[in-house]
Amino acid sequence: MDRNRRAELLARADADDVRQLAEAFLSHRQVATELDIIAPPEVGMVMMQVREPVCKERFHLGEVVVTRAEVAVGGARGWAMRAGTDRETTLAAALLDACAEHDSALGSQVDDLCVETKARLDRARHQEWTELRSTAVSFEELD
Amino acid sequence: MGYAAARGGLKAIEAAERLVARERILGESSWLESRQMIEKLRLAVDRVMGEGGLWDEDLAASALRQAEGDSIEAAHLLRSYRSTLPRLAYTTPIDVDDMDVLRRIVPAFRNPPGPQLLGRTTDYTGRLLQTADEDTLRTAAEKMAAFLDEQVTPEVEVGHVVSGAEPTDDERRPRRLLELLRDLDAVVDRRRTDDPEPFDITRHPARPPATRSARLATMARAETGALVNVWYRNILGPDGYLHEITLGEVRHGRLPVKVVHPITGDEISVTEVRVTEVEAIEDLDGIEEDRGRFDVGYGLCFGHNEKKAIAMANLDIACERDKGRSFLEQSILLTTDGLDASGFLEHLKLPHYVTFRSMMERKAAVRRHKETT
Amino acid sequence: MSTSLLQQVLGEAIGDDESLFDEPEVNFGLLDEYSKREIRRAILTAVAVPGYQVPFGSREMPVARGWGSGGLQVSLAIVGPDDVVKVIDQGDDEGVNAVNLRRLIVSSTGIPESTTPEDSTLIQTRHRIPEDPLDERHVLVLQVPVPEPLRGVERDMRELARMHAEADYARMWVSLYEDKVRNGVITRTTGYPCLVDGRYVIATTPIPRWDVPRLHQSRFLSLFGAGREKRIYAVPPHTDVEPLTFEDVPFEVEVTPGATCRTCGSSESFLVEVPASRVDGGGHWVCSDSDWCRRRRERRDHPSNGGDS
Repeated sequence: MDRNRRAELLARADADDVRQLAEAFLSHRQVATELDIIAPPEVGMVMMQVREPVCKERFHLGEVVVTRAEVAVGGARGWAMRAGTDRETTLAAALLDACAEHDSALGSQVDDLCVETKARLDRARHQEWTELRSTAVSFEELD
Repeated sequence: MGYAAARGGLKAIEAAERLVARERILGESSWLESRQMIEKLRLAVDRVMGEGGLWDEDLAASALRQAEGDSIEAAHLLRSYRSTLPRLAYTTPIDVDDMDVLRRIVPAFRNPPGPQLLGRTTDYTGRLLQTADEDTLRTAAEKMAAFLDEQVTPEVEVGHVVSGAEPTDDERRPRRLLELLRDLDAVVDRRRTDDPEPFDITRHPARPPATRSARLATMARAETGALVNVWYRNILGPDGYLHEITLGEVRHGRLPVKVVHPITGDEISVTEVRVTEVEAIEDLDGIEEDRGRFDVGYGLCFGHNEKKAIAMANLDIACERDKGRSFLEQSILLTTDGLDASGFLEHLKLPHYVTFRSMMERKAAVRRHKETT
Repeated sequence: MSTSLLQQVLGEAIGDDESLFDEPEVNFGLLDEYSKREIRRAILTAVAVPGYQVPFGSREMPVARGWGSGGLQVSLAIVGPDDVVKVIDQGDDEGVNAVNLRRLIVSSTGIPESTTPEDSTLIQTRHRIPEDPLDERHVLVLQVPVPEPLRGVERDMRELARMHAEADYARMWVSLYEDKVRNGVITRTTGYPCLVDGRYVIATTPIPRWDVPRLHQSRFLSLFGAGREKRIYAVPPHTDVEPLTFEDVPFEVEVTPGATCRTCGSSESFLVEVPASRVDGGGHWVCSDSDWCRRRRERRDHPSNGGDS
């Protein structure tokens, strides 16, 4: 899976699933010994700048609380940023990202989690639209 | 002695804090869960995030509980928390056209391009207080939920999505009315190409004359009631800088939060926030203005808060037209922050006996002067 | 998942596995280092240009704006591990707001506190300057609700900026003159407008006029923090601070003839009135500086100890 897409999906994956998979990877002796923490998980903010449509000007809408972490496994870097203040899960997500880069067997397990996450998001989006579309006002236009 | 008894002291303060904390636990009801507030007091949580200038539903709910439901106090808790956090990154400039709408209303046209999507709203519901007992209300709500689930679930199969119900881009990301007005050459073109750096109100005080980005950022985290009041004051109050506008767009939807991936260098979306967006169409009638066209004001804030976004869009265009002639900009920048106004108001509760003694002394001096002349 | 491998890794990574479950580690002085640096830069500018109101990016503090958030930011930006802090409100170390602010400073820095200026280095105050003489060892941080001395004569902030820039204080003088003509005396009470270093007019926070002469050519540094209005200004040591008044109208401080402190007998300190009550009988006066009053009383009651200073 494309690394960018993986980061997007690990950012949205279920917290328990992410931690459980990371826990399983950590029990591999090789992963545990080759793990380097590059940046410990840190809670902080991302300033959201938006471009408004009238003058095409940027302005600051406000800040979003995120947690960020970066690790390496066997020299392969892994990075994660997730909304909220959960340092453990963010560290786990960074670990999964690094493992996916480091080892294709582990990578396919991470991909599975991502695919599953994508399916869940699609279902939610679909369900949301099914509910919403009934609130659209329909007009009968005379042609 | 009276004087000693008037002393506050640490013990009294701590005892007062314990009283508040105890009430969060005590009473007949169970612990108020954050999840409950996020789901069932959604607008209150959204308002706190907007006025706090910080998006995190769990923290906002926690703040609301800690503040016993006082939204300004809760926004204050969020903001003082944010003072302790590092700013890890800026998003890439988020294009507001990337919003997935959850609600979209176009008052300016009956049948605009894209849907008139009512979404989750009580705008058209009679304001009738539900006076039945709670069990009855709960049963009715459960029936309603079951009915809705029945309508929705048959189309969704686990693990795969029925294709026919997929929304088109025109439905989820409808083209904004402003674009239509541009096609019709009915709106003045103020699009800039120089892309100025946005003003950061969290690091520099915004003072008149300010840039538009400073005004928009100020209003995005202004107190809802204050912004509505500045607007209404200008309709019915003594100031009168603006007239009523027509709303082009009222939207509630989700915007992606995009940052640059540090390893690939590419833009990725790490989460979404919900925002309310408004376009306000202004009828230009000034002697120096392009009276053959409209202009447009813009409002955008965190969460679902239509009152705030509408007031913001109105005030944006009003300020643009005012061009610093009146106090409008100063009012917006200096008087709409909930923490500023409430903090100063409430500080009047603090002891003021030194200043009052000084005032008493001057009153006596004026009286003495009157008696001797 | 109790104490999993992941939690072990996390514990090692952030250096302290306890902190996972406790309150997040608080930075020394609460503010992050970036904020402190920015506030210090504003303070340096303020010291370099005495009386000039320096705009700064005021942070939201754990106290409400209007409750000393500006003074608190100044204190937390300059406080060091060797400082000893004293906090007063209305002159009283035990005032509720003083207690609250002291608790914040002490708990976020771990520095010792004191009530005597002699033992203190950093003194944060609302509405008073301690009666004791302060010197080079002291930094006085004043909480400022309204930093703009000219607001009574001009509301437009753009015009206010011009007036300060051009030292155009004509309308201030006119208003003082009108005050004198109408009322026979200048009725300004606290926060009396003063010219600093012959250049900028400042609001002396709401300290009483009694305290104003003590800013003139003082041996200590005074820093004024206005959090809500996002301004910092300063009176450096050995700087002229002249109350605005006319040659033939002497500046008057608060004096009530015959009033003495019921507790320590002082007539040479700033006194506040305790009004008559049905329980207590007639009204009386007490020192507003409670710690000064206490030490004076102790010296009187136990002259052999010689007090503590």
